[in-house]
Amino acid sequence: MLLAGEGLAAESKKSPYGMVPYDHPVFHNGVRVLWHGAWRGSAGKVVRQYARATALAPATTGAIPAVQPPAPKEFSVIADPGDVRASRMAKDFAAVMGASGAPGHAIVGPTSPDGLGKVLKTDLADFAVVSLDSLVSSAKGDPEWIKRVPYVARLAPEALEVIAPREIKSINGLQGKLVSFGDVDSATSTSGRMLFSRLGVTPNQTNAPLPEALDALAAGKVDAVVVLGAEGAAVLDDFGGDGRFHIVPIPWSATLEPVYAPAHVTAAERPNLVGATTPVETVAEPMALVALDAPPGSQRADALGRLARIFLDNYDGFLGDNRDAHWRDVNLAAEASWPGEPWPRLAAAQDWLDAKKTSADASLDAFRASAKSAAGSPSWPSAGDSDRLYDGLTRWRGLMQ
Amino acid sequence: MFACWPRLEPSALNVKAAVEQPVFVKQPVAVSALKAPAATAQPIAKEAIGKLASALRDQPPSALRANEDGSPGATLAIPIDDGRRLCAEGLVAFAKGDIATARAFFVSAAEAGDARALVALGDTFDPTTLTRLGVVGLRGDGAKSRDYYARALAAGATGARERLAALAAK
Repeated sequence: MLLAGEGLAAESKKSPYGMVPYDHPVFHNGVRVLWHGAWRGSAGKVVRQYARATALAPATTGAIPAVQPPAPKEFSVIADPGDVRASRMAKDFAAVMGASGAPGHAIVGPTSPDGLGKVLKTDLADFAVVSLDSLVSSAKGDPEWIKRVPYVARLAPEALEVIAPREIKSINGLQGKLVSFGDVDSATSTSGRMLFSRLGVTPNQTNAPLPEALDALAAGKVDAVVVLGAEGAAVLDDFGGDGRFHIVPIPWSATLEPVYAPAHVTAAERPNLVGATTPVETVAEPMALVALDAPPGSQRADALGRLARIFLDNYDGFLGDNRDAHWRDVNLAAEASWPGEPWPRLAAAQDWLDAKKTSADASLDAFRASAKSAAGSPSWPSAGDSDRLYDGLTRWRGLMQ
Repeated sequence: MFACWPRLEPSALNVKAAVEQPVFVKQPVAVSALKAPAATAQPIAKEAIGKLASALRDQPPSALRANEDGSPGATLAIPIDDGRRLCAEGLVAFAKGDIATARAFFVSAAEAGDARALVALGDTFDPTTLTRLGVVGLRGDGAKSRDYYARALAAGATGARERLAALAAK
Protein backbone atom coordinates (compact mmCIF):
# COMPACT_ATOMS: atom_id res chain seq x y z
CA MET A 1 0.00 0.00 0.00
CA LEU A 2 1.28 3.41 -0.81
CA LEU A 3 2.31 5.67 1.98
CA ALA A 4 3.42 9.04 0.78
CA GLY A 5 7.01 9.22 1.90
CA GLU A 6 7.38 12.95 1.56
CA GLY A 7 4.10 13.59 3.29
CA LEU A 8 5.06 11.43 6.20
CA ALA A 9 8.38 13.12 6.49
CA ALA A 10 6.68 16.48 6.57
CA GLU A 11 4.29 15.30 9.26
CA SER A 12 7.15 13.94 11.30
CA LYS A 13 9.01 17.23 11.07
CA LYS A 14 6.00 19.17 12.25
CA SER A 15 5.49 17.10 15.36
CA PRO A 16 7.13 14.28 17.22
CA TYR A 17 3.79 12.62 16.95
CA GLY A 18 2.44 11.52 13.67
CA MET A 19 1.40 8.65 11.58
CA VAL A 20 2.72 5.15 11.73
CA PRO A 21 4.62 4.38 8.57
CA TYR A 22 4.98 0.78 7.50
CA ASP A 23 7.87 -0.09 5.27
CA HIS A 24 6.61 -3.57 4.52
CA PRO A 25 3.27 -5.27 3.93
CA VAL A 26 1.56 -6.58 7.06
CA PHE A 27 0.13 -10.05 6.89
CA HIS A 28 -2.45 -11.67 9.12
CA ASN A 29 -3.38 -15.31 8.64
CA GLY A 30 -1.73 -15.20 5.26
CA VAL A 31 -3.73 -12.19 4.10
CA ARG A 32 -2.18 -8.80 3.59
CA VAL A 33 -3.84 -6.26 5.86
CA LEU A 34 -3.00 -2.69 6.76
CA TRP A 35 -3.95 -0.19 9.36
CA HIS A 36 -6.97 1.70 8.19
CA GLY A 37 -6.38 5.42 7.91
CA ALA A 38 -3.03 5.31 9.60
CA TRP A 39 -1.43 7.52 7.01
CA ARG A 40 -4.35 9.82 6.53
CA GLY A 41 -3.47 12.30 9.19
CA SER A 42 -5.11 11.04 12.34
CA ALA A 43 -3.18 12.26 15.36
CA GLY A 44 -1.30 9.22 16.44
CA LYS A 45 0.29 8.36 19.73
CA VAL A 46 3.98 7.84 20.03
CA VAL A 47 5.48 6.80 16.76
CA ARG A 48 7.71 3.88 17.45
CA GLN A 49 9.79 4.23 14.32
CA TYR A 50 10.22 7.91 15.08
CA ALA A 51 11.23 6.98 18.62
CA ARG A 52 13.91 4.67 17.25
CA ALA A 53 15.17 7.40 14.99
CA THR A 54 15.41 9.91 17.83
CA ALA A 55 17.22 7.42 20.01
CA LEU A 56 19.90 7.04 17.38
CA ALA A 57 20.12 10.71 16.52
CA PRO A 58 22.53 13.06 18.35
CA ALA A 59 20.83 14.72 21.29
CA THR A 60 19.76 18.29 20.63
CA THR A 61 18.01 20.49 23.07
CA GLY A 62 14.81 22.26 22.15
CA ALA A 63 14.85 21.22 18.53
CA ILE A 64 13.01 18.50 16.75
CA PRO A 65 15.61 16.15 15.37
CA ALA A 66 15.64 15.62 11.64
CA VAL A 67 14.16 12.35 10.52
CA GLN A 68 15.14 10.71 7.31
CA PRO A 69 12.07 10.40 5.12
CA PRO A 70 11.01 6.80 4.93
CA ALA A 71 11.52 5.04 1.66
CA PRO A 72 8.50 5.29 -0.62
CA LYS A 73 6.06 2.57 0.20
CA GLU A 74 4.94 0.02 -2.30
CA PHE A 75 1.74 0.66 -4.17
CA SER A 76 -0.68 -2.03 -5.18
CA VAL A 77 -2.89 -2.34 -8.22
CA ILE A 78 -5.96 -4.55 -8.13
CA ALA A 79 -7.73 -6.45 -10.90
CA ASP A 80 -10.63 -8.86 -11.12
CA PRO A 81 -9.34 -12.44 -10.72
CA GLY A 82 -11.72 -13.65 -13.45
CA ASP A 83 -10.53 -10.98 -15.85
CA VAL A 84 -7.28 -12.53 -16.93
CA ARG A 85 -6.40 -9.67 -19.27
CA ALA A 86 -6.88 -7.09 -16.49
CA SER A 87 -4.83 -9.24 -14.11
CA ARG A 88 -2.05 -9.47 -16.68
CA MET A 89 -2.14 -5.73 -17.25
CA ALA A 90 -2.01 -5.12 -13.51
CA LYS A 91 1.04 -7.37 -13.32
CA ASP A 92 2.65 -5.44 -16.20
CA PHE A 93 1.87 -2.19 -14.43
CA ALA A 94 3.62 -3.34 -11.27
CA ALA A 95 6.59 -4.68 -13.22
CA VAL A 96 7.21 -1.59 -15.34
CA MET A 97 6.65 0.75 -12.42
CA GLY A 98 9.07 -1.32 -10.33
CA ALA A 99 11.68 -1.10 -13.07
CA SER A 100 11.11 2.66 -13.10
CA GLY A 101 11.87 3.06 -9.41
CA ALA A 102 8.35 2.81 -8.02
CA PRO A 103 8.00 -0.63 -6.45
CA GLY A 104 4.57 -2.13 -6.19
CA HIS A 105 2.64 -5.29 -6.78
CA ALA A 106 -0.49 -6.58 -8.43
CA ILE A 107 -3.24 -8.22 -6.46
CA VAL A 108 -6.45 -9.84 -7.57
CA GLY A 109 -9.65 -8.98 -5.79
CA PRO A 110 -13.14 -7.53 -6.06
CA THR A 111 -13.52 -4.71 -8.56
CA SER A 112 -17.27 -4.29 -8.71
CA PRO A 113 -18.51 -1.04 -7.14
CA ASP A 114 -19.34 -2.90 -3.93
CA GLY A 115 -16.01 -4.69 -4.02
CA LEU A 116 -14.07 -1.50 -4.62
CA GLY A 117 -16.04 0.11 -1.79
CA LYS A 118 -14.62 -2.51 0.54
CA VAL A 119 -11.17 -2.04 -0.94
CA LEU A 120 -11.42 1.69 -0.26
CA LYS A 121 -12.42 1.09 3.35
CA THR A 122 -9.47 -1.17 3.95
CA ASP A 123 -6.81 0.63 1.91
CA LEU A 124 -5.98 -2.55 0.07
CA ALA A 125 -5.11 -0.98 -3.26
CA ASP A 126 -4.09 2.30 -4.86
CA PHE A 127 -4.95 1.65 -8.50
CA ALA A 128 -7.38 -0.65 -10.25
CA VAL A 129 -7.89 -2.00 -13.74
CA VAL A 130 -11.65 -1.88 -13.98
CA SER A 131 -14.67 -1.91 -16.23
CA LEU A 132 -15.99 1.65 -16.57
CA ASP A 133 -19.50 0.32 -17.03
CA SER A 134 -19.31 -1.27 -13.64
CA LEU A 135 -18.11 1.97 -12.03
CA VAL A 136 -20.81 4.00 -13.76
CA SER A 137 -23.48 1.86 -12.17
CA SER A 138 -22.25 3.05 -8.79
CA ALA A 139 -21.85 6.67 -9.88
CA LYS A 140 -25.54 6.82 -10.69
CA GLY A 141 -26.32 6.10 -7.06
CA ASP A 142 -23.67 8.43 -5.67
CA PRO A 143 -22.44 11.32 -7.86
CA GLU A 144 -19.53 11.87 -5.46
CA TRP A 145 -18.24 8.42 -6.27
CA ILE A 146 -16.59 9.37 -9.53
CA LYS A 147 -14.53 12.05 -7.80
CA ARG A 148 -13.00 9.35 -5.61
CA VAL A 149 -11.95 7.16 -8.52
CA PRO A 150 -10.45 9.41 -11.19
CA TYR A 151 -9.02 7.59 -14.18
CA VAL A 152 -5.37 7.70 -15.15
CA ALA A 153 -5.78 6.20 -18.61
CA ARG A 154 -8.57 4.77 -20.66
CA LEU A 155 -7.71 1.23 -21.73
CA ALA A 156 -8.79 -0.81 -24.73
CA PRO A 157 -12.18 -2.53 -24.40
CA GLU A 158 -12.36 -6.17 -23.34
CA ALA A 159 -14.60 -8.79 -24.90
CA LEU A 160 -17.37 -10.25 -22.78
CA GLU A 161 -18.22 -13.83 -23.68
CA VAL A 162 -21.14 -16.08 -22.74
CA ILE A 163 -20.27 -19.79 -22.91
CA ALA A 164 -23.14 -22.27 -23.05
CA PRO A 165 -24.11 -25.65 -24.51
CA ARG A 166 -24.66 -25.57 -28.28
CA GLU A 167 -28.39 -26.19 -27.73
CA ILE A 168 -28.65 -22.60 -26.50
CA LYS A 169 -28.63 -20.76 -29.79
CA SER A 170 -29.21 -17.19 -28.63
CA ILE A 171 -28.88 -15.06 -25.52
CA ASN A 172 -32.68 -15.15 -25.16
CA GLY A 173 -32.38 -18.88 -24.64
CA LEU A 174 -30.86 -18.15 -21.23
CA GLN A 175 -34.08 -16.62 -19.89
CA GLY A 176 -34.72 -18.28 -16.52
CA LYS A 177 -31.60 -20.47 -16.82
CA LEU A 178 -28.83 -20.66 -14.24
CA VAL A 179 -25.91 -18.47 -15.32
CA SER A 180 -22.59 -18.11 -13.50
CA PHE A 181 -21.25 -14.55 -13.40
CA GLY A 182 -17.73 -14.97 -12.04
CA ASP A 183 -16.59 -14.25 -8.51
CA VAL A 184 -18.80 -12.47 -6.01
CA ASP A 185 -18.16 -8.70 -6.13
CA SER A 186 -16.24 -9.04 -9.37
CA ALA A 187 -16.52 -6.64 -12.30
CA THR A 188 -17.46 -9.65 -14.42
CA SER A 189 -20.46 -10.20 -12.18
CA THR A 190 -21.63 -6.58 -12.30
CA SER A 191 -20.94 -6.11 -16.00
CA GLY A 192 -22.49 -9.43 -16.96
CA ARG A 193 -25.66 -8.76 -15.04
CA MET A 194 -25.93 -5.28 -16.58
CA LEU A 195 -25.49 -6.72 -20.07
CA PHE A 196 -28.26 -9.26 -19.55
CA SER A 197 -30.50 -6.53 -18.15
CA ARG A 198 -29.91 -4.34 -21.22
CA LEU A 199 -30.71 -7.28 -23.47
CA GLY A 200 -33.96 -7.89 -21.56
CA VAL A 201 -32.95 -11.37 -20.46
CA THR A 202 -33.40 -12.40 -16.82
CA PRO A 203 -31.41 -15.50 -15.88
CA ASN A 204 -31.04 -17.02 -12.44
CA GLN A 205 -27.70 -15.85 -11.17
CA THR A 206 -24.93 -17.64 -9.39
CA ASN A 207 -21.31 -16.75 -8.70
CA ALA A 208 -18.18 -18.86 -8.81
CA PRO A 209 -14.55 -18.43 -9.84
CA LEU A 210 -13.95 -19.22 -13.51
CA PRO A 211 -12.38 -22.70 -13.10
CA GLU A 212 -15.19 -23.83 -10.80
CA ALA A 213 -17.84 -22.30 -13.03
CA LEU A 214 -16.50 -24.15 -16.07
CA ASP A 215 -16.47 -27.41 -14.12
CA ALA A 216 -20.10 -26.79 -13.18
CA LEU A 217 -20.96 -26.03 -16.82
CA ALA A 218 -19.30 -29.23 -17.98
CA ALA A 219 -21.22 -31.17 -15.34
CA GLY A 220 -24.53 -29.60 -16.35
CA LYS A 221 -24.97 -27.83 -13.04
CA VAL A 222 -25.14 -24.38 -14.64
CA ASP A 223 -26.45 -23.42 -18.07
CA ALA A 224 -23.92 -20.75 -19.01
CA VAL A 225 -20.78 -18.96 -17.81
CA VAL A 226 -20.04 -15.28 -18.39
CA VAL A 227 -16.37 -14.31 -18.76
CA LEU A 228 -14.75 -10.93 -19.21
CA GLY A 229 -11.28 -10.39 -20.66
CA ALA A 230 -10.49 -14.09 -20.50
CA GLU A 231 -8.03 -14.10 -23.38
CA GLY A 232 -5.05 -16.22 -22.49
CA ALA A 233 -6.85 -18.04 -19.69
CA ALA A 234 -5.44 -21.56 -19.86
CA VAL A 235 -8.48 -22.97 -18.09
CA LEU A 236 -10.68 -21.63 -20.89
CA ASP A 237 -8.33 -22.62 -23.70
CA ASP A 238 -8.57 -26.20 -22.51
CA PHE A 239 -12.35 -26.14 -22.11
CA GLY A 240 -14.88 -27.51 -24.59
CA GLY A 241 -12.68 -29.97 -26.42
CA ASP A 242 -15.64 -32.36 -26.65
CA GLY A 243 -17.51 -29.91 -28.87
CA ARG A 244 -20.55 -29.62 -26.60
CA PHE A 245 -20.20 -25.88 -25.95
CA HIS A 246 -19.96 -22.64 -27.88
CA ILE A 247 -19.92 -18.90 -27.39
CA VAL A 248 -23.45 -17.56 -27.57
CA PRO A 249 -23.65 -14.75 -30.16
CA ILE A 250 -24.69 -11.29 -28.98
CA PRO A 251 -25.75 -9.50 -32.17
CA TRP A 252 -25.06 -5.77 -32.19
CA SER A 253 -28.10 -3.62 -31.53
CA ALA A 254 -28.85 0.02 -30.88
CA THR A 255 -29.49 -0.67 -27.17
CA LEU A 256 -25.83 -1.64 -26.77
CA GLU A 257 -24.36 1.46 -28.43
CA PRO A 258 -24.09 3.84 -25.47
CA VAL A 259 -21.85 1.50 -23.49
CA TYR A 260 -20.18 -1.23 -25.47
CA ALA A 261 -18.05 -1.65 -28.55
CA PRO A 262 -18.71 -4.44 -31.02
CA ALA A 263 -16.33 -7.39 -30.82
CA HIS A 264 -15.76 -10.68 -32.56
CA VAL A 265 -14.34 -13.89 -31.15
CA THR A 266 -12.58 -16.04 -33.72
CA ALA A 267 -11.68 -19.69 -33.95
CA ALA A 268 -8.04 -18.71 -33.53
CA GLU A 269 -8.89 -17.38 -30.09
CA ARG A 270 -11.34 -20.09 -29.04
CA PRO A 271 -10.78 -23.14 -31.25
CA ASN A 272 -13.01 -25.33 -29.10
CA LEU A 273 -15.88 -22.85 -28.90
CA VAL A 274 -16.02 -21.03 -32.24
CA GLY A 275 -16.51 -22.51 -35.70
CA ALA A 276 -13.56 -22.35 -38.07
CA THR A 277 -15.19 -20.04 -40.60
CA THR A 278 -17.58 -17.77 -38.75
CA PRO A 279 -16.45 -15.44 -35.95
CA VAL A 280 -18.97 -14.97 -33.17
CA GLU A 281 -20.35 -11.50 -32.52
CA THR A 282 -20.21 -10.26 -28.96
CA VAL A 283 -19.61 -6.99 -27.11
CA ALA A 284 -16.57 -5.39 -25.48
CA GLU A 285 -16.57 -3.55 -22.16
CA PRO A 286 -14.97 -0.12 -21.74
CA MET A 287 -11.96 -0.38 -19.40
CA ALA A 288 -9.78 2.06 -17.51
CA LEU A 289 -6.87 2.33 -15.11
CA VAL A 290 -8.20 4.31 -12.15
CA ALA A 291 -6.72 5.74 -8.96
CA LEU A 292 -8.61 4.68 -5.85
CA ASP A 293 -9.87 7.10 -3.25
CA ALA A 294 -8.09 10.09 -4.72
CA PRO A 295 -10.52 13.02 -4.73
CA PRO A 296 -9.19 16.27 -6.24
CA GLY A 297 -6.92 18.26 -3.95
CA SER A 298 -6.38 15.47 -1.46
CA GLN A 299 -2.97 14.44 -0.17
CA ARG A 300 -3.62 10.99 -1.55
CA ALA A 301 -4.36 12.39 -5.02
CA ASP A 302 -0.95 14.09 -4.89
CA ALA A 303 0.77 10.88 -3.82
CA LEU A 304 -0.93 8.78 -6.48
CA GLY A 305 -0.31 11.58 -8.97
CA ARG A 306 3.44 11.15 -8.51
CA LEU A 307 3.05 7.48 -9.37
CA ALA A 308 0.82 8.32 -12.33
CA ARG A 309 3.53 10.56 -13.73
CA ILE A 310 6.06 7.74 -13.42
CA PHE A 311 3.61 5.51 -15.31
CA LEU A 312 3.19 8.07 -18.08
CA ASP A 313 6.88 8.96 -18.29
CA ASN A 314 7.81 5.32 -18.70
CA TYR A 315 4.99 4.20 -20.96
CA ASP A 316 7.39 2.85 -23.58
CA GLY A 317 8.07 0.03 -21.14
CA PHE A 318 4.51 -1.21 -21.73
CA LEU A 319 4.89 -1.45 -25.49
CA GLY A 320 7.28 -4.40 -25.64
CA ASP A 321 6.34 -7.85 -26.84
CA ASN A 322 6.66 -9.17 -23.30
CA ARG A 323 3.71 -7.00 -22.18
CA ASP A 324 0.00 -7.52 -22.77
CA ALA A 325 -0.97 -6.58 -26.32
CA HIS A 326 -3.71 -4.25 -25.10
CA TRP A 327 -1.14 -1.74 -23.85
CA ARG A 328 -0.24 -1.15 -27.48
CA ASP A 329 -3.82 -0.09 -28.22
CA VAL A 330 -3.93 2.56 -25.51
CA ASN A 331 -3.97 6.24 -26.36
CA LEU A 332 -3.01 7.83 -23.07
CA ALA A 333 -4.82 11.00 -24.10
CA ALA A 334 -8.14 9.22 -24.73
CA GLU A 335 -11.00 10.59 -22.70
CA ALA A 336 -13.37 8.56 -20.58
CA SER A 337 -16.94 9.55 -19.96
CA TRP A 338 -20.16 8.25 -18.56
CA PRO A 339 -23.56 9.12 -19.99
CA GLY A 340 -23.91 12.88 -19.94
CA GLU A 341 -20.75 13.63 -17.97
CA PRO A 342 -17.01 13.38 -18.48
CA TRP A 343 -15.23 11.08 -16.08
CA PRO A 344 -12.58 13.09 -14.17
CA ARG A 345 -8.95 12.31 -14.82
CA LEU A 346 -6.41 12.35 -12.00
CA ALA A 347 -5.12 15.93 -11.97
CA ALA A 348 -1.45 14.98 -12.23
CA ALA A 349 -2.16 12.80 -15.28
CA GLN A 350 -4.19 15.57 -16.89
CA ASP A 351 -1.39 18.09 -16.25
CA TRP A 352 1.11 15.68 -17.81
CA LEU A 353 -1.06 15.33 -20.92
CA ASP A 354 -1.73 19.07 -21.14
CA ALA A 355 2.02 19.66 -21.26
CA LYS A 356 2.19 17.33 -24.27
CA LYS A 357 -0.52 19.11 -26.23
CA THR A 358 0.42 20.33 -29.64
CA SER A 359 -0.48 23.69 -31.11
CA ALA A 360 -4.11 24.60 -31.66
CA ASP A 361 -5.82 23.08 -34.67
CA ALA A 362 -9.11 24.80 -35.52
CA SER A 363 -10.32 22.11 -37.93
CA LEU A 364 -9.60 19.36 -35.42
CA ASP A 365 -11.42 21.33 -32.74
CA ALA A 366 -14.37 21.70 -35.12
CA PHE A 367 -14.40 17.96 -35.79
CA ARG A 368 -14.32 17.22 -32.07
CA ALA A 369 -17.04 19.75 -31.34
CA SER A 370 -19.32 18.28 -34.00
CA ALA A 371 -18.72 14.79 -32.59
CA LYS A 372 -19.57 15.95 -29.09
CA SER A 373 -22.64 17.79 -30.30
CA ALA A 374 -23.84 14.87 -32.40
CA ALA A 375 -23.38 12.35 -29.60
CA GLY A 376 -25.41 14.57 -27.28
CA SER A 377 -28.34 15.05 -29.62
CA PRO A 378 -31.63 13.26 -28.88
CA SER A 379 -31.70 11.63 -32.30
CA TRP A 380 -28.20 10.22 -31.98
CA PRO A 381 -26.97 8.34 -33.83
CA SER A 382 -28.59 9.04 -37.18
CA ALA A 383 -27.28 8.46 -40.66
CA GLY A 384 -27.14 12.24 -41.05
CA ASP A 385 -24.82 12.47 -38.03
CA SER A 386 -22.59 9.92 -39.67
CA ASP A 387 -22.37 11.97 -42.86
CA ARG A 388 -21.66 15.22 -41.01
CA LEU A 389 -18.97 13.61 -38.88
CA TYR A 390 -17.31 11.98 -41.85
CA ASP A 391 -17.32 15.33 -43.65
CA GLY A 392 -15.67 16.86 -40.59
CA LEU A 393 -13.01 14.17 -40.62
CA THR A 394 -12.44 14.68 -44.33
CA ARG A 395 -12.08 18.45 -43.91
CA TRP A 396 -9.59 18.02 -41.10
CA ARG A 397 -7.57 15.41 -43.02
CA GLY A 398 -7.71 17.56 -46.14
CA LEU A 399 -6.26 20.52 -44.30
CA MET A 400 -3.52 18.33 -42.91
CA GLN A 401 -2.23 17.47 -46.37
CA MET B 1 -2.38 -11.05 18.85
CA PHE B 2 -2.75 -9.00 15.77
CA ALA B 3 -4.98 -5.99 16.25
CA CYS B 4 -6.69 -4.08 13.53
CA TRP B 5 -9.09 -1.15 13.71
CA PRO B 6 -11.57 -0.69 12.31
CA ARG B 7 -12.32 -4.31 11.84
CA LEU B 8 -11.67 -5.52 8.34
CA GLU B 9 -14.76 -6.86 6.72
CA PRO B 10 -14.63 -10.60 6.18
CA SER B 11 -15.13 -10.32 2.46
CA ALA B 12 -12.24 -7.92 2.22
CA LEU B 13 -10.05 -10.33 4.11
CA ASN B 14 -10.79 -12.87 1.44
CA VAL B 15 -8.91 -10.76 -1.03
CA LYS B 16 -5.98 -12.82 -2.08
CA ALA B 17 -2.50 -11.81 -1.16
CA ALA B 18 -0.18 -10.38 -3.73
CA VAL B 19 0.41 -12.79 -6.55
CA GLU B 20 2.79 -12.83 -9.39
CA GLN B 21 0.05 -14.07 -11.68
CA PRO B 22 -3.31 -15.80 -11.28
CA VAL B 23 -2.80 -19.53 -11.25
CA PHE B 24 -4.98 -20.08 -14.27
CA VAL B 25 -3.11 -17.65 -16.44
CA LYS B 26 -1.18 -19.31 -19.18
CA GLN B 27 2.47 -18.45 -19.05
CA PRO B 28 3.32 -15.86 -21.69
CA VAL B 29 4.63 -17.90 -24.55
CA ALA B 30 4.53 -15.19 -27.15
CA VAL B 31 2.53 -12.21 -26.05
CA SER B 32 3.04 -10.61 -29.43
CA ALA B 33 0.98 -13.37 -30.91
CA LEU B 34 -2.00 -12.53 -28.72
CA LYS B 35 -4.83 -10.92 -30.57
CA ALA B 36 -6.75 -8.12 -28.93
CA PRO B 37 -10.44 -8.62 -29.57
CA ALA B 38 -12.16 -5.52 -30.81
CA ALA B 39 -9.01 -3.54 -30.46
CA THR B 40 -6.59 -4.62 -33.09
CA ALA B 41 -7.14 -4.37 -36.77
CA GLN B 42 -9.24 -7.17 -38.06
CA PRO B 43 -9.03 -8.37 -41.61
CA ILE B 44 -12.03 -7.43 -43.67
CA ALA B 45 -13.04 -10.42 -45.68
CA LYS B 46 -13.28 -10.17 -49.43
CA GLU B 47 -16.96 -11.00 -49.04
CA ALA B 48 -17.38 -7.92 -46.87
CA ILE B 49 -15.79 -5.73 -49.53
CA GLY B 50 -18.16 -7.24 -52.06
CA LYS B 51 -21.08 -6.63 -49.74
CA LEU B 52 -20.28 -3.02 -49.16
CA ALA B 53 -19.55 -2.35 -52.83
CA SER B 54 -22.93 -3.81 -53.71
CA ALA B 55 -24.63 -1.95 -50.93
CA LEU B 56 -23.13 1.32 -52.07
CA ARG B 57 -24.71 0.77 -55.43
CA ASP B 58 -28.04 0.53 -53.57
CA GLN B 59 -28.69 -2.91 -54.89
CA PRO B 60 -30.99 -5.21 -52.94
CA PRO B 61 -29.35 -8.18 -51.20
CA SER B 62 -30.76 -10.54 -53.80
CA ALA B 63 -28.78 -8.73 -56.47
CA LEU B 64 -25.46 -9.36 -54.75
CA ARG B 65 -23.03 -10.99 -57.07
CA ALA B 66 -21.88 -14.51 -56.57
CA ASN B 67 -18.45 -14.99 -55.05
CA GLU B 68 -15.48 -15.78 -57.24
CA ASP B 69 -15.74 -19.45 -56.41
CA GLY B 70 -19.28 -19.52 -57.75
CA SER B 71 -20.96 -19.87 -54.37
CA PRO B 72 -23.94 -17.62 -53.75
CA GLY B 73 -23.04 -14.14 -52.51
CA ALA B 74 -23.58 -13.54 -48.82
CA THR B 75 -26.73 -11.67 -47.96
CA LEU B 76 -26.38 -8.23 -46.44
CA ALA B 77 -27.44 -8.99 -42.89
CA ILE B 78 -27.34 -5.37 -41.71
CA PRO B 79 -28.93 -2.56 -43.72
CA ILE B 80 -26.62 0.18 -44.93
CA ASP B 81 -28.00 2.65 -42.38
CA ASP B 82 -26.73 0.46 -39.58
CA GLY B 83 -23.31 0.63 -41.17
CA ARG B 84 -23.46 4.41 -41.20
CA ARG B 85 -24.60 4.45 -37.59
CA LEU B 86 -21.73 2.20 -36.57
CA CYS B 87 -19.39 4.47 -38.49
CA ALA B 88 -20.82 7.47 -36.61
CA GLU B 89 -20.11 5.75 -33.28
CA GLY B 90 -16.59 5.05 -34.45
CA LEU B 91 -16.06 8.66 -35.46
CA VAL B 92 -17.20 9.89 -32.05
CA ALA B 93 -14.80 7.49 -30.35
CA PHE B 94 -12.06 8.61 -32.75
CA ALA B 95 -12.72 12.27 -31.94
CA LYS B 96 -12.36 11.45 -28.24
CA GLY B 97 -9.07 9.73 -28.96
CA ASP B 98 -10.42 6.29 -28.05
CA ILE B 99 -8.67 4.61 -30.95
CA ALA B 100 -9.26 1.01 -29.85
CA THR B 101 -13.02 1.52 -29.59
CA ALA B 102 -13.10 3.47 -32.85
CA ARG B 103 -11.38 0.59 -34.66
CA ALA B 104 -13.94 -1.88 -33.33
CA PHE B 105 -16.81 0.25 -34.63
CA PHE B 106 -15.14 0.90 -37.99
CA VAL B 107 -14.53 -2.82 -38.55
CA SER B 108 -18.21 -3.55 -37.89
CA ALA B 109 -19.30 -0.58 -40.01
CA ALA B 110 -17.18 -1.76 -42.93
CA GLU B 111 -18.61 -5.26 -42.62
CA ALA B 112 -22.07 -3.70 -42.58
CA GLY B 113 -21.40 -1.99 -45.86
CA ASP B 114 -20.03 1.48 -45.13
CA ALA B 115 -16.91 1.90 -47.27
CA ARG B 116 -16.01 5.17 -45.54
CA ALA B 117 -15.29 3.11 -42.42
CA LEU B 118 -12.33 1.56 -44.27
CA VAL B 119 -10.90 5.03 -44.83
CA ALA B 120 -11.45 5.93 -41.19
CA LEU B 121 -9.93 2.60 -40.15
CA GLY B 122 -6.84 3.49 -42.16
CA ASP B 123 -6.77 6.83 -40.36
CA THR B 124 -6.62 5.04 -36.98
CA PHE B 125 -3.31 3.49 -38.09
CA ASP B 126 -1.92 6.44 -40.04
CA PRO B 127 1.08 7.79 -38.07
CA THR B 128 0.57 11.35 -39.32
CA THR B 129 -3.11 11.36 -38.41
CA LEU B 130 -2.46 9.96 -34.96
CA THR B 131 0.20 12.57 -34.27
CA ARG B 132 -2.07 15.39 -35.36
CA LEU B 133 -4.89 13.96 -33.29
CA GLY B 134 -2.65 14.28 -30.21
CA VAL B 135 -2.40 10.56 -29.59
CA VAL B 136 0.11 9.66 -26.88
CA GLY B 137 1.55 6.19 -26.34
CA LEU B 138 -0.14 4.33 -29.18
CA ARG B 139 2.02 4.02 -32.29
CA GLY B 140 0.87 4.18 -35.87
CA ASP B 141 1.36 1.46 -38.44
CA GLY B 142 1.90 2.76 -41.96
CA ALA B 143 1.56 -0.67 -43.57
CA LYS B 144 -1.85 -1.34 -42.01
CA SER B 145 -2.97 2.16 -42.83
CA ARG B 146 -1.95 1.72 -46.47
CA ASP B 147 -3.75 -1.62 -46.59
CA TYR B 148 -7.05 -0.18 -45.35
CA TYR B 149 -6.81 2.82 -47.68
CA ALA B 150 -6.22 0.47 -50.61
CA ARG B 151 -9.28 -1.57 -49.68
CA ALA B 152 -11.30 1.62 -49.35
CA LEU B 153 -10.11 2.73 -52.77
CA ALA B 154 -11.11 -0.62 -54.25
CA ALA B 155 -14.55 -0.19 -52.69
CA GLY B 156 -14.87 3.25 -54.23
CA ALA B 157 -14.65 5.32 -51.06
CA THR B 158 -13.83 8.99 -51.53
CA GLY B 159 -10.70 10.29 -49.86
CA ALA B 160 -8.82 7.01 -50.02
CA ARG B 161 -6.73 7.94 -53.05
CA GLU B 162 -5.53 11.22 -51.49
CA ARG B 163 -4.61 9.50 -48.28
CA LEU B 164 -2.64 6.82 -50.11
CA ALA B 165 -0.76 9.50 -51.98
CA ALA B 166 -0.03 11.41 -48.78
CA LEU B 167 1.20 8.25 -47.10
CA ALA B 168 3.44 7.44 -50.08
CA ALA B 169 4.90 10.95 -49.99
CA LYS B 170 6.15 10.50 -46.41
